[in-house]
Order: sequence, then C-alpha cells, then structure tokens
Amino acid sequence: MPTIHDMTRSTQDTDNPFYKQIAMLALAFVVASLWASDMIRLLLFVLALSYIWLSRHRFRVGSIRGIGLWHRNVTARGWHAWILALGLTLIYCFIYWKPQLLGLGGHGQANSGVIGFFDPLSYAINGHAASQWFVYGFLYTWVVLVSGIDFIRKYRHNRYQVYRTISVLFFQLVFAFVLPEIFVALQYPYFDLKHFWPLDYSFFFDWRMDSLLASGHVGLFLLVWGIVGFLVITPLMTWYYGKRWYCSWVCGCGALAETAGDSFRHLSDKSLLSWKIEKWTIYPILAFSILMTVLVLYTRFTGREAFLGVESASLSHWYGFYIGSLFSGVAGVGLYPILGNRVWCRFGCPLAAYMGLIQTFKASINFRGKKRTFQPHFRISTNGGQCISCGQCSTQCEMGIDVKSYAERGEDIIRASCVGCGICSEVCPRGVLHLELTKPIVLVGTQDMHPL
Amino acid sequence: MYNPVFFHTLQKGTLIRTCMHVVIIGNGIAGFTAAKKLRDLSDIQITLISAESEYPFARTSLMYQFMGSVRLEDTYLASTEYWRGAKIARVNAWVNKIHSEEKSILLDDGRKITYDKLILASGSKVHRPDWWQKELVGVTGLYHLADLKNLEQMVTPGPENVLIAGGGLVGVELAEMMMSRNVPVSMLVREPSYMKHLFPHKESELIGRHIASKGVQMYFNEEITALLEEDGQLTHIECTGSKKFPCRLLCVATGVVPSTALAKQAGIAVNKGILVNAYLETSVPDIYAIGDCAERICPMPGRPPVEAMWYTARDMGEQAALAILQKNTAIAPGVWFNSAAFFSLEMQLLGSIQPICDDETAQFFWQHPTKPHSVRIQYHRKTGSVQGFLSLGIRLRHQHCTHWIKNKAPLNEVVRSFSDSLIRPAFSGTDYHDLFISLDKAHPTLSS
Repeated sequence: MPTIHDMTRSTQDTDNPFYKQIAMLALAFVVASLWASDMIRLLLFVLALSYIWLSRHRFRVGSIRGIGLWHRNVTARGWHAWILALGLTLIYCFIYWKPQLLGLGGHGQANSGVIGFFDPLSYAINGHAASQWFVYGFLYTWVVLVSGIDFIRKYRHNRYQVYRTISVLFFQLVFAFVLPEIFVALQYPYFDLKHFWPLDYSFFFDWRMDSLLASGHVGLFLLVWGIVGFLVITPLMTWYYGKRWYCSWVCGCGALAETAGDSFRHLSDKSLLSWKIEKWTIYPILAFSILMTVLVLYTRFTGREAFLGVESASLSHWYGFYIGSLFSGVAGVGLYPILGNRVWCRFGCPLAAYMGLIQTFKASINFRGKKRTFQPHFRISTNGGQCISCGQCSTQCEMGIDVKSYAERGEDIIRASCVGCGICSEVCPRGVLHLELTKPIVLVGTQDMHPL
Repeated sequence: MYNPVFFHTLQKGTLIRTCMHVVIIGNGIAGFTAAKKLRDLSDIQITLISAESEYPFARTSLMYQFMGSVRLEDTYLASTEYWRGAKIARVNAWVNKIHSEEKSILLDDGRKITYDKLILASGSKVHRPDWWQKELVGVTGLYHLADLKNLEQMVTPGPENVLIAGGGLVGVELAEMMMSRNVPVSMLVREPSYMKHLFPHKESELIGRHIASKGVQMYFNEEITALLEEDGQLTHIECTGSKKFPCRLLCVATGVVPSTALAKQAGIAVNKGILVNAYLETSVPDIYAIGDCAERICPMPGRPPVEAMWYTARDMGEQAALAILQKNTAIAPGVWFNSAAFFSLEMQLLGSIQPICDDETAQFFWQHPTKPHSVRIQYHRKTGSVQGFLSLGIRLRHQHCTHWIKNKAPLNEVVRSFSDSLIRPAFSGTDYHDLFISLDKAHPTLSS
C-alpha cells in the first residue's frame, strides 16, 4: 500500500568528512588518468564531479524550509552570486558566439580544449567529433541529472516533487539528449520531441523545414509531430492539467530551473511592478514569435522576402539573437543567482504565455457571472483563514507570485504564470496551501458560502 | 472569508464616508487588520503608530527570519505598494502618554496627535518569572523584533548548548531555530508531558516524542527556581529540588503577558489585560483595545478572557473596525480555530477539544500505526453532535469542519463525508483506509 505524503520533513543531514572525500577522489582521478584512455578519463572526471556535487548536500544546512538561504553569500546575492552569474554568462557567450575559444576545430582542424575533451564521447554516441552544442547538451543534461538527484533527496518525503522530478529528468535525458543524438547518428535531423513551437522558435525556419522534408518518412513524422504538439497536445493537456504538465514535468528549461536553480528560486521579484513588466514582456514576445513565424512562412510560400517592408529574414535573425540566445540562454541562466531561476519562463517564454492564457481562461469560466460551474481546473487552494502570513510561500515562489496575499484573503491562486511546482504548498508551515486539480468539494448546505 | 459573518454585515464597495480620525497604537496583526478593514470600508483618516518596525510584519515569522528562510521585508503584512496607495499614516514612534480628556496622545519625540477614536493594540510582552527580574547576559525571550538580535548574539560564538525554559509553542519554535544553526538544545517543561493543559494525553505524547526525535533533549517536571550569575553573565541555573546545572545560554519561553502600562497610566480599567466589553470598548469612551492586550469582561463561551493568538487578534482587528463604523453591531463569533507546527508536524484544532472528556462529551480518536498522525473528533455524548476536531500531521478542510461544528452536525453525517474533508496532497495514496474503518466502527455505536 502506498504511503501518504509525509508531513514529517527530514531532519538535517549530519556532517561528514567532506574534504577527505574530495582528496581521495582527486587522488583516484590522477592515478586513473595516468593510464586510462581518454574516454575513461572523461567518464571518471564527470563521475567525480557528480559525487562531489552530491556530497555537498550532506554538510549543507539547507533543508525543506530554505534554511539559511538568506544567510549564505551565494544564495543571498552576495559577491559569490555575482561571480557565479558572471561565470555562467561567460560560458553561454562562449558557447553561442565564441566556440573557438572553447577549442572548437573546423576548417580541417581537430577539436582541442574543452570541446576536444568531449570528442571520444561524441564519437561513441553519434559518430561525429564533438561540437559546442554537443558539449552544451551533455553538460546541461548532466547538471540536470545530478542536481535532480539532489532535489529528489531534498524533497523525498513529498511524492509530487519526486514524481515530477523523475519526469523532467527522464524528458531531459531521453527526449532532449539521447533521442536527438540517435537521430543524428542515423543521419536524420537533430530533433527534440518535446520542444514545441513557439518555444522552439526556429521550427518553421527554411533550413529546419528543408532538412525535415528531405528526411523521408521520419522527417515527415517529426514535422507532423511538431505541429500536432503545439496545436493539439499543448492546448489539450493544459486544458486538463494546467500549465504545470509542461513547465514542471516536461520542459528542459524548467528542468534546469527546478533542479540546478532550486537554491535561487527565492530571488524572483514579487513586486507589483515586476508583475506589470511580466505582462508587458511575455505576451508581446508571444505575439512577436507568432508574427515572425507567419512572416517566415509567407516568405517560404510566396517567395517574397518582405511584407509591408518587414524582411522576414532580418526579423527572424533579430528574434533568434535577442530572444532565442540572449534572453533565454545568456540572461535566462546567467542571471539565476541574481534574479532567480525562472527569469526566462516568467518574462520571456512564448510557450508559457500561450499555456498561461489557457490556464487562466479555464479557471475564469468557472467564475463567470454569479454562477459558479466548478469545472475541475488547476489551482492552488487555501485552507480557510489559517494563513499566518509567514511569507515563505511568496518567498519561495520562483514565478514571483505573491502567494501570501491570496492566502491571507483565503482565495485560490489561479494566476497565468503559476507553473505548479508545488513548493509553496511544501514550505507552508501550517499546510494551508494545496495543489488541486479536481472540482472544489462543496458540502451540502454550504453552497451559498464564499468559495474557498 | 474565514469568518463569513463579516461579509454579510458589510459588503466591500459600500464606502462609508465620515469625518473621523482613528489612531491605532501598535501595528501587529490586530492593529494592522483594524487599519486595513477601516480603509477597505471607509474614507476615515487613519494613523498607525509603532516603535517596533516601520511596516507591519508577521510576528509568526520571526523564527523563519532567524533561520534565514525569509527576510523581514518578506514578512510584511502588506506590500510597500499597498502603503503607497492606502492613505494610512504610519508613525514610527513610541507613545508616552494618552490624554483621554482632550483626546490626544503624546509621542516620545514630543509630537501630539489628537484622535476621535483610539485603538490600543499594544500586544504582549515576554512573561518574566520571579527568577528573571534582572537583565543578564545570556538570557533572552522571543517576542519583539529586537529579540532576534539577542538570539543571534547567542549563537554567533559557536555551538554551545542552549537551554529553553518553557515548553509552549514559542519554546518549540526556539528549539527549531537553534537546531537550524546546529546548536544543541535542551528544553525544561514544567508539566509531566507536552502542553498537557491543551492537548489530550495521546496527542501530547505524540508531539513530545516528535520533538524529541528531532534531537531536542526534553526534561519534564522541571522548573527553574533561580539564575546564578557572575559579573552579569548567566553561569548556572537552579531547578526544582535545588538541582544546579551549568548554563550560559537560556531562552525563556514561559508565555506572554498583556502589555498594559500605557492603558494603566491613562486610567483605563485593567485587570490582567485591558478590560473590554463585547464591542471591544474600554472603560474610557472612544478608546478600544484589541489583540493580545485586551481582556474580555464577558469572554466568549469556552474561551479565556485573554487570548494571545494570531487568529484572535486578526478577528478582533476586524471587529473593532466594524464596531467603530457601525456602532453597537453585535458580532457573532465564528468557530474558533488554531493551528501550529511542532518542527515539521502540523496541528489543526477547530472548535472545542477537551483534554479529558466529561460526562457530556465523547471523543473519537485515531492514530497512524507508525507516523505521528492522528485525528480526534469530539461530540456530544447523547445527541452525537460534533463539537471539535484536532488533527496532527493530517490536513482537514477548514470550511467543512466549521460548517459541521456551527450546525451541530451529528457524527454520522460527518463520518459519511469525512473522506472529502481530508486534504490529500497530490499522489498521496490511500493510507487513510485504516482511519475510515475506525470511523465506520465509531458510527453504528452512536446511531443505535
């Protein structure tokens, strides 16, 4: 029989001789690298780093309630955080615009440096030399996996957190890393099956369409899948489960945010001003991505390069540079330690905007006029007036929703931006907040009362 | 919403226009709620005075501030945006004196503020037992924002054992705070088991065991009788039976007492707290008292005259606002409730649960075989009507329970839809099966 959600949270992990472990691992690594092949060395290196990362948890005081978050330099926007942000930003800049500095070969030259280090692995997986994108994909997946294990351990008493983390790990590993590499190995175009348009903004670009159309039945299937994905699967799933089915269970950006970015979720800004900014960035970006795509398709089918003086090529180039690379990658991840882990998801992601509209629409039809139809819809409910205004829910909300202000009034939270990560409900010390997907349960005789 | 009665008396949007200046002393949850409610319903001139902090904050979150989960600004009861638009004057000062004849108050910076109505929401202060009359280094309580600094100083030098005197809710909070900094904690509890006066024996044991399982050393039946010092620094404590222990750091959590000095000075009738009638009016006209500092002359049925509780203070804030706007409106109290957390163990208490049943009442009790989870339902022995719920580790739907208690629903009705009233977190499974079987068994004995 399955056990229930255990409200008794884990006690702190005890100290262990962490530095001894590092020293031993370093020694083992040096010894192994003296004789082992490149491939073994790479794997050893990655394993050693994973082990150190996971051991870190044992001496950390951090637990479920975010203990010490505002005391530690790196999680409280101290100078450690700024250095980390700078480092992450630089890594992204190198990968996007200066891969040569990371050792990317080309023009007959072999890879060297960091990218060269991953050559054996790339050959083993897809038969080609490593590219910066292979290295990026591998590191991204590795970070998600390792910090995902860390996350599961941290929230092990909460089944919702465990299941959804296993889900994002699966989608990241299989859909975003292994399957695309297999496609490449089999001479098909690189394709991430869960990366739907408009998040995948280049889906309708000529070079992507051409490569898919040139790949026979598989290519055609992938093309149809991509279209069904945003046209049928996304609205249908969101209608029944809310945006969380994607943002917290499937998405790759979400995977990184929820796992590696977990210690930075409290940094999102909760002011009314950011909510306004959010509305004025995310919906225009959605509109912009649609406009750009329409224009690109217009050019493809009519052969005309511009519509009303707007060139589709320059527009898509602009979008790719500023939104696709600079916003979602460089700023989105680089600013984790400063603005929190969901900057891109909150202010930029067009797919999130699309699903957010469906999520709030579904909730709003329940409250149209005086009549309440109470269709099941995704929301976070508040248990009566039991909120003690401690502020942990709002603090921990990565999407910057002021959860507390709703809980204080005994209102459900049905905001478009909510990704249903469930952490507000997890940290609430009085169990007031609850993720709900069913119809509100109304007792006989209480229909007239205010819905809670 | 937590007390639907208020929603029917005054609907939002009907703005009452009056020319009146309401001054509120104290910006805790009581004072803040009064100010907010007044602002929601009227265009009254409001002044909120506090020396403790610039913006009202949640005192319940002092512990989480100390633990580093939130900052002070995260615990503000209303956002800074609210204050920009609310037109509530906030004064950061200490009130020295109330002149009730000329209806004015005197601040410590010499300013004088006149009022039409005055609300005293001065809260509590830490109760000082006989043995703690002199300030000592190493001894502190937890109530005021400034107390956090003392606690911070205590744990800064390193993990030295901290002793907590008193096993109430604040005592447990202090233990959790200290444990979060890896400071070993011992707790002295006067009673033979945890919070015996409030909880039935089984819950009391469950909670006590849970706290101990988190690594807190518990000592029951122990009480401090004296503190020993050396140059103003605490060195030893003396316990009942003249036992002497070395102790350099002591947190006192033996409760709170109403803060009444200001009212006394103004000639307002004071017993333990500031005496108020059903409309929360004190003995002096146009002066109200709410929250921890108030003492009801006619307490609500089954409730103490002074109740230092978050939810009570919030209710009183709303009531005072309504009493000022709609003179002499009697307000039916909602169903009483409280909640707490003992480390990670959540507790919910709705209606009335007696620690020991009398002739009139009977109780249903279920306990999880392994986890510290339990449910207790109190009902009338003859009629079977439900009177109260107490749950540990399990969340009950507030609205359902209050509905049943208010309507004196019979136990069989509750049993029938009880499974709907458990809040089951996503993917939680069906571990309550045993509870429902027990409930079904309790059910026929009643109907026969």
